[in-house]
Amino acid sequence: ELLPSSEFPTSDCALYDFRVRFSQLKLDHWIVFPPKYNPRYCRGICPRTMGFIYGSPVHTMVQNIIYEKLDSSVPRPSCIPSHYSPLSVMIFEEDGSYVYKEFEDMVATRCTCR
Amino acid sequence: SAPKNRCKLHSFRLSFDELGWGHYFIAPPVYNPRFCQGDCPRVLHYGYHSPNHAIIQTVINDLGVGDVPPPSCVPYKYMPMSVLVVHKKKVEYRELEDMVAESCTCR
Amino acid sequence: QGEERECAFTDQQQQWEVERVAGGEGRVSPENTTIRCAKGSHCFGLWEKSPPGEVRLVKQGCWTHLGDHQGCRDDRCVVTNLPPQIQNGTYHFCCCGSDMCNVNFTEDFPLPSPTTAQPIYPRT
Repeated sequence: ELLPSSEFPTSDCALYDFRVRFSQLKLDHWIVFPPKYNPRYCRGICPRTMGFIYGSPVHTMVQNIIYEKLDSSVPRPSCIPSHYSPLSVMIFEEDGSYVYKEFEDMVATRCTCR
Repeated sequence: SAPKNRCKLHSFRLSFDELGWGHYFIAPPVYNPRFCQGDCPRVLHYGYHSPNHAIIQTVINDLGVGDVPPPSCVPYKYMPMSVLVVHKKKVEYRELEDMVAESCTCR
Repeated sequence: QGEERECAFTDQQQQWEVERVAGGEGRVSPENTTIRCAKGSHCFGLWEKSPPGEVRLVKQGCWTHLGDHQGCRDDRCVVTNLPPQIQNGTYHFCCCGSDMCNVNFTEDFPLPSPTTAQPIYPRT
Protein backbone atom coordinates (compact mmCIF):
# COMPACT_ATOMS: atom_id res chain seq x y z
CA GLU A 1 0.00 0.00 0.00
CA LEU A 2 1.47 3.31 -1.16
CA LEU A 3 2.86 6.06 1.07
CA PRO A 4 3.00 9.86 0.63
CA SER A 5 3.05 10.98 -2.95
CA SER A 6 5.32 13.98 -2.38
CA GLU A 7 8.26 12.05 -3.80
CA PHE A 8 6.67 11.27 -7.20
CA PRO A 9 3.85 12.92 -9.18
CA THR A 10 1.24 10.36 -10.26
CA SER A 11 -2.40 10.17 -11.32
CA ASP A 12 -2.67 6.77 -9.69
CA CYS A 13 -4.10 6.29 -6.21
CA ALA A 14 -1.77 7.96 -3.72
CA LEU A 15 -1.67 9.71 -0.33
CA TYR A 16 -1.59 13.53 -0.21
CA ASP A 17 -1.03 16.15 2.47
CA PHE A 18 -3.64 18.75 3.34
CA ARG A 19 -3.24 21.03 6.38
CA VAL A 20 -6.47 22.44 7.81
CA ARG A 21 -7.20 24.68 10.79
CA PHE A 22 -9.83 23.58 13.29
CA SER A 23 -11.25 27.10 12.95
CA GLN A 24 -11.98 26.30 9.28
CA LEU A 25 -13.81 23.21 10.48
CA LYS A 26 -15.67 25.36 13.06
CA LEU A 27 -14.31 23.13 15.82
CA ASP A 28 -11.88 25.59 17.41
CA HIS A 29 -14.31 26.48 20.19
CA TRP A 30 -14.01 22.86 21.31
CA ILE A 31 -10.57 21.67 20.14
CA VAL A 32 -8.12 24.21 21.54
CA PHE A 33 -4.92 22.37 20.64
CA PRO A 34 -3.47 21.71 18.10
CA PRO A 35 -4.78 24.72 16.16
CA LYS A 36 -4.39 22.80 12.87
CA TYR A 37 -3.51 19.33 11.63
CA ASN A 38 -2.86 17.28 8.51
CA PRO A 39 -5.57 14.62 8.01
CA ARG A 40 -4.05 13.68 4.62
CA TYR A 41 -6.28 12.15 2.00
CA CYS A 42 -6.24 9.61 -0.80
CA ARG A 43 -6.85 10.52 -4.39
CA GLY A 44 -6.20 9.05 -7.82
CA ILE A 45 -7.08 6.38 -10.31
CA CYS A 46 -7.26 2.69 -9.38
CA PRO A 47 -5.58 0.83 -12.24
CA ARG A 48 -6.71 -2.77 -12.72
CA THR A 49 -3.30 -4.25 -13.24
CA MET A 50 -1.77 -2.84 -10.03
CA GLY A 51 -4.34 -4.21 -7.59
CA PHE A 52 -1.76 -6.21 -5.70
CA ILE A 53 0.29 -3.07 -4.93
CA TYR A 54 -2.65 -1.55 -3.07
CA GLY A 55 -3.39 -4.70 -1.11
CA SER A 56 -6.83 -4.75 -2.69
CA PRO A 57 -9.14 -7.73 -2.26
CA VAL A 58 -10.13 -9.92 -5.23
CA HIS A 59 -13.47 -8.13 -5.31
CA THR A 60 -11.72 -4.94 -6.39
CA MET A 61 -10.15 -6.66 -9.42
CA VAL A 62 -13.54 -8.13 -10.33
CA GLN A 63 -15.21 -4.72 -10.08
CA ASN A 64 -12.48 -3.19 -12.25
CA ILE A 65 -13.00 -5.84 -14.95
CA ILE A 66 -16.77 -5.27 -14.84
CA TYR A 67 -16.24 -1.51 -15.17
CA GLU A 68 -13.75 -1.81 -18.01
CA LYS A 69 -15.26 -4.66 -20.02
CA LEU A 70 -18.88 -5.29 -19.13
CA ASP A 71 -20.76 -2.31 -17.73
CA SER A 72 -19.19 1.10 -17.12
CA SER A 73 -22.24 2.17 -15.08
CA VAL A 74 -20.73 0.00 -12.34
CA PRO A 75 -18.30 2.36 -10.60
CA ARG A 76 -14.58 1.99 -10.96
CA PRO A 77 -12.94 1.03 -7.63
CA SER A 78 -12.20 4.09 -5.46
CA CYS A 79 -8.95 5.27 -3.93
CA ILE A 80 -9.59 5.43 -0.19
CA PRO A 81 -7.66 5.29 3.07
CA SER A 82 -6.96 1.78 4.34
CA HIS A 83 -5.06 2.69 7.52
CA TYR A 84 -5.37 5.60 9.94
CA SER A 85 -3.56 6.93 12.99
CA PRO A 86 -5.08 8.68 16.01
CA LEU A 87 -4.63 12.36 16.97
CA SER A 88 -4.02 13.77 20.46
CA VAL A 89 -6.02 16.92 21.20
CA MET A 90 -6.83 19.25 24.10
CA ILE A 91 -10.57 19.79 24.51
CA PHE A 92 -12.24 22.75 26.21
CA GLU A 93 -15.23 21.24 28.09
CA GLU A 94 -18.48 23.00 28.87
CA ASP A 95 -17.60 23.09 32.53
CA GLY A 96 -14.58 25.20 31.63
CA SER A 97 -12.03 22.42 32.13
CA TYR A 98 -9.39 21.31 29.65
CA VAL A 99 -9.26 17.60 28.87
CA TYR A 100 -6.66 15.56 26.95
CA LYS A 101 -8.20 13.17 24.43
CA GLU A 102 -7.04 10.84 21.63
CA PHE A 103 -9.36 10.70 18.63
CA GLU A 104 -9.16 7.52 16.59
CA ASP A 105 -8.77 7.39 12.79
CA MET A 106 -8.02 11.06 12.33
CA VAL A 107 -5.02 10.81 9.96
CA ALA A 108 -4.90 8.67 6.81
CA THR A 109 -1.61 6.79 6.67
CA ARG A 110 -2.13 4.47 3.69
CA CYS A 111 -4.34 4.21 0.65
CA THR A 112 -5.98 1.28 -1.06
CA CYS A 113 -8.43 0.64 -3.88
CA ARG A 114 -11.90 -0.75 -3.24
CA SER B 1 -37.56 8.47 3.61
CA ALA B 2 -33.99 7.61 2.64
CA PRO B 3 -32.50 9.90 -0.08
CA LYS B 4 -32.94 8.40 -3.52
CA ASN B 5 -29.36 7.72 -4.53
CA ARG B 6 -27.80 6.99 -1.17
CA CYS B 7 -24.72 4.77 -0.88
CA LYS B 8 -25.88 1.16 -0.84
CA LEU B 9 -25.33 -2.37 -2.22
CA HIS B 10 -26.25 -3.27 -5.79
CA SER B 11 -26.34 -6.61 -7.59
CA PHE B 12 -24.44 -7.56 -10.69
CA ARG B 13 -24.78 -11.22 -11.73
CA LEU B 14 -22.37 -12.64 -14.26
CA SER B 15 -20.60 -15.84 -15.20
CA PHE B 16 -16.88 -16.48 -14.74
CA ASP B 17 -16.71 -16.79 -18.54
CA GLU B 18 -17.66 -13.11 -18.78
CA LEU B 19 -14.82 -12.24 -16.40
CA GLY B 20 -12.46 -14.17 -18.64
CA TRP B 21 -11.91 -16.80 -15.94
CA GLY B 22 -14.14 -19.52 -17.40
CA HIS B 23 -11.13 -21.71 -18.11
CA TYR B 24 -10.40 -21.92 -14.37
CA PHE B 25 -13.74 -21.76 -12.53
CA ILE B 26 -16.24 -24.64 -12.85
CA ALA B 27 -18.75 -23.50 -10.25
CA PRO B 28 -20.84 -21.69 -9.21
CA PRO B 29 -22.31 -21.00 -12.66
CA VAL B 30 -23.49 -17.53 -11.59
CA TYR B 31 -21.46 -15.09 -9.47
CA ASN B 32 -22.79 -11.90 -7.90
CA PRO B 33 -19.88 -9.89 -6.44
CA ARG B 34 -22.29 -7.00 -5.63
CA PHE B 35 -20.91 -3.48 -5.53
CA CYS B 36 -21.41 -0.25 -3.60
CA GLN B 37 -22.74 2.82 -5.35
CA GLY B 38 -24.47 6.05 -4.39
CA ASP B 39 -24.00 9.36 -2.64
CA CYS B 40 -22.35 9.67 0.74
CA PRO B 41 -24.52 11.95 2.90
CA ARG B 42 -23.03 15.11 4.41
CA VAL B 43 -23.87 13.78 7.84
CA LEU B 44 -22.25 10.34 8.07
CA HIS B 45 -24.43 8.69 10.70
CA TYR B 46 -23.48 5.55 12.60
CA GLY B 47 -24.86 3.08 9.99
CA TYR B 48 -22.09 3.97 7.53
CA HIS B 49 -19.22 2.78 9.77
CA SER B 50 -17.32 5.88 8.69
CA PRO B 51 -14.13 6.76 10.58
CA ASN B 52 -13.54 10.28 12.01
CA HIS B 53 -11.31 10.99 9.01
CA ALA B 54 -14.26 10.64 6.63
CA ILE B 55 -16.28 13.14 8.67
CA ILE B 56 -13.39 15.61 8.58
CA GLN B 57 -12.94 14.98 4.83
CA THR B 58 -16.62 15.71 4.22
CA VAL B 59 -16.33 19.09 5.96
CA ILE B 60 -13.11 19.96 4.08
CA ASN B 61 -14.76 19.03 0.78
CA ASP B 62 -17.70 21.25 1.68
CA LEU B 63 -15.28 24.13 2.28
CA GLY B 64 -14.22 23.75 -1.34
CA VAL B 65 -10.57 24.43 -0.55
CA GLY B 66 -7.90 22.36 -2.24
CA ASP B 67 -9.03 19.39 -4.32
CA VAL B 68 -9.90 17.08 -1.47
CA PRO B 69 -12.55 14.68 -2.82
CA PRO B 70 -15.68 13.75 -0.83
CA PRO B 71 -15.64 10.31 0.83
CA SER B 72 -16.34 7.42 -1.55
CA CYS B 73 -19.05 4.77 -1.30
CA VAL B 74 -17.06 1.52 -1.10
CA PRO B 75 -17.42 -1.98 0.34
CA TYR B 76 -16.99 -2.14 4.10
CA LYS B 77 -17.07 -5.91 4.62
CA TYR B 78 -16.78 -8.86 2.25
CA MET B 79 -17.97 -12.46 2.29
CA PRO B 80 -16.02 -15.54 1.18
CA MET B 81 -17.40 -17.82 -1.54
CA SER B 82 -17.21 -21.57 -2.24
CA VAL B 83 -15.93 -22.43 -5.73
CA LEU B 84 -14.81 -25.42 -7.79
CA VAL B 85 -11.70 -24.78 -9.86
CA VAL B 86 -9.51 -26.80 -12.19
CA HIS B 87 -5.97 -26.82 -10.82
CA LYS B 88 -3.28 -28.99 -12.38
CA LYS B 89 -5.98 -30.91 -14.21
CA LYS B 90 -7.73 -31.75 -10.95
CA VAL B 91 -11.04 -30.42 -9.72
CA GLU B 92 -10.56 -28.68 -6.37
CA TYR B 93 -13.03 -27.22 -3.87
CA ARG B 94 -11.92 -23.84 -2.46
CA GLU B 95 -13.30 -21.06 -0.28
CA LEU B 96 -12.08 -17.74 -1.66
CA GLU B 97 -11.99 -14.75 0.67
CA ASP B 98 -13.39 -11.29 -0.15
CA MET B 99 -15.37 -12.35 -3.21
CA VAL B 100 -18.72 -10.72 -2.38
CA ALA B 101 -19.35 -7.24 -0.95
CA GLU B 102 -21.44 -7.63 2.18
CA SER B 103 -21.90 -4.00 3.29
CA CYS B 104 -20.95 -0.48 2.24
CA THR B 105 -19.24 2.44 3.95
CA CYS B 106 -18.25 6.02 3.13
CA ARG B 107 -14.47 6.73 3.30
CA GLN C 1 -26.93 -20.14 11.17
CA GLY C 2 -29.01 -23.32 10.49
CA GLU C 3 -28.33 -26.87 11.64
CA GLU C 4 -25.41 -29.13 10.65
CA ARG C 5 -25.74 -30.70 7.24
CA GLU C 6 -24.90 -34.25 6.10
CA CYS C 7 -23.81 -34.60 2.48
CA ALA C 8 -22.66 -37.36 0.19
CA PHE C 9 -18.89 -37.16 -0.14
CA THR C 10 -16.75 -38.29 -3.03
CA ASP C 11 -13.39 -37.17 -4.25
CA GLN C 12 -11.73 -38.64 -7.29
CA GLN C 13 -8.34 -37.71 -5.81
CA GLN C 14 -6.20 -40.30 -3.98
CA GLN C 15 -7.28 -41.56 -0.57
CA TRP C 16 -4.57 -39.72 1.43
CA GLU C 17 -5.74 -36.47 -0.06
CA VAL C 18 -9.27 -37.14 1.08
CA GLU C 19 -8.39 -36.51 4.73
CA ARG C 20 -6.36 -33.39 3.83
CA VAL C 21 -9.10 -31.96 1.62
CA ALA C 22 -11.94 -32.91 3.97
CA GLY C 23 -10.07 -31.82 7.08
CA GLY C 24 -10.96 -28.19 6.48
CA GLU C 25 -14.65 -28.77 5.66
CA GLY C 26 -16.10 -31.34 8.02
CA ARG C 27 -15.89 -34.86 9.39
CA VAL C 28 -15.77 -37.68 6.84
CA SER C 29 -17.42 -41.01 7.73
CA PRO C 30 -15.14 -44.05 8.12
CA GLU C 31 -16.10 -45.50 4.75
CA ASN C 32 -15.72 -41.85 3.51
CA THR C 33 -18.99 -41.74 1.57
CA THR C 34 -20.63 -39.02 3.67
CA ILE C 35 -19.45 -35.86 5.37
CA ARG C 36 -20.92 -33.79 8.19
CA CYS C 37 -20.65 -30.11 7.25
CA ALA C 38 -20.49 -26.91 9.28
CA LYS C 39 -23.71 -25.22 10.40
CA GLY C 40 -25.54 -23.47 7.59
CA SER C 41 -23.71 -25.38 4.88
CA HIS C 42 -25.23 -26.87 1.74
CA CYS C 43 -24.25 -29.86 -0.37
CA PHE C 44 -22.85 -29.92 -3.92
CA GLY C 45 -22.22 -32.46 -6.62
CA LEU C 46 -20.17 -32.41 -9.82
CA TRP C 47 -20.60 -34.94 -12.62
CA GLU C 48 -19.14 -35.36 -16.07
CA LYS C 49 -21.77 -36.13 -18.65
CA SER C 50 -20.47 -36.97 -22.12
CA PRO C 51 -22.37 -38.18 -25.22
CA PRO C 52 -24.19 -40.44 -25.77
CA GLY C 53 -25.18 -40.08 -22.11
CA GLU C 54 -22.43 -41.58 -20.00
CA VAL C 55 -22.30 -39.94 -16.55
CA ARG C 56 -19.23 -40.03 -14.28
CA LEU C 57 -19.29 -38.75 -10.68
CA VAL C 58 -16.38 -36.34 -10.07
CA LYS C 59 -16.91 -34.70 -6.70
CA GLN C 60 -19.44 -34.33 -3.89
CA GLY C 61 -19.22 -32.56 -0.55
CA CYS C 62 -20.01 -29.48 1.52
CA TRP C 63 -20.78 -26.11 -0.06
CA THR C 64 -20.18 -23.65 2.74
CA HIS C 65 -20.29 -20.11 1.31
CA LEU C 66 -23.05 -19.41 -1.21
CA GLY C 67 -22.08 -15.84 -1.94
CA ASP C 68 -25.31 -14.93 -3.65
CA HIS C 69 -25.96 -18.12 -5.55
CA GLN C 70 -29.69 -18.79 -5.07
CA GLY C 71 -29.60 -22.25 -6.62
CA CYS C 72 -28.52 -24.02 -3.42
CA ARG C 73 -31.71 -23.60 -1.44
CA ASP C 74 -33.77 -26.38 -3.01
CA ASP C 75 -34.08 -29.85 -1.47
CA ARG C 76 -33.07 -31.52 -4.75
CA CYS C 77 -29.80 -31.09 -6.62
CA VAL C 78 -30.88 -29.48 -9.87
CA VAL C 79 -28.42 -28.44 -12.58
CA THR C 80 -29.93 -25.07 -13.53
CA ASN C 81 -27.20 -23.63 -15.76
CA LEU C 82 -25.61 -24.63 -18.98
CA PRO C 83 -22.29 -26.30 -18.15
CA PRO C 84 -19.23 -24.06 -18.43
CA GLN C 85 -16.88 -24.44 -21.36
CA ILE C 86 -14.21 -26.25 -19.35
CA GLN C 87 -13.86 -29.91 -20.37
CA ASN C 88 -15.90 -28.84 -23.47
CA GLY C 89 -19.12 -28.42 -21.57
CA THR C 90 -19.41 -31.85 -19.97
CA TYR C 91 -19.32 -30.71 -16.34
CA HIS C 92 -22.68 -30.63 -14.56
CA PHE C 93 -22.74 -28.81 -11.21
CA CYS C 94 -25.54 -28.46 -8.67
CA CYS C 95 -25.99 -27.64 -4.98
CA CYS C 96 -28.88 -28.09 -2.57
CA GLY C 97 -30.07 -27.60 0.97
CA SER C 98 -31.14 -30.89 2.60
CA ASP C 99 -29.27 -33.89 4.01
CA MET C 100 -27.77 -36.18 1.35
CA CYS C 101 -29.51 -34.19 -1.40
CA ASN C 102 -26.37 -34.36 -3.56
CA VAL C 103 -26.40 -38.13 -4.11
CA ASN C 104 -27.64 -37.56 -7.67
CA PHE C 105 -28.84 -34.71 -9.89
CA THR C 106 -31.58 -33.68 -12.28
CA GLU C 107 -31.30 -31.18 -15.14
CA ASP C 108 -33.43 -28.06 -15.64
CA PHE C 109 -31.76 -25.55 -17.99
CA PRO C 110 -33.67 -22.24 -18.32
CA LEU C 111 -32.95 -20.00 -21.35
CA PRO C 112 -29.86 -17.83 -20.55
CA SER C 113 -31.07 -14.39 -19.28
CA PRO C 114 -29.02 -11.20 -19.95
CA THR C 115 -26.90 -9.85 -17.00
CA THR C 116 -28.36 -6.57 -15.62
CA ALA C 117 -27.39 -4.35 -12.69
CA GLN C 118 -30.25 -3.59 -10.36
CA PRO C 119 -30.22 -2.35 -6.75
CA ILE C 120 -30.94 -4.93 -4.02
CA TYR C 121 -33.15 -2.49 -2.17
CA PRO C 122 -35.88 -1.12 -4.44
CA ARG C 123 -35.71 2.67 -4.46
CA THR C 124 -38.43 4.19 -2.35
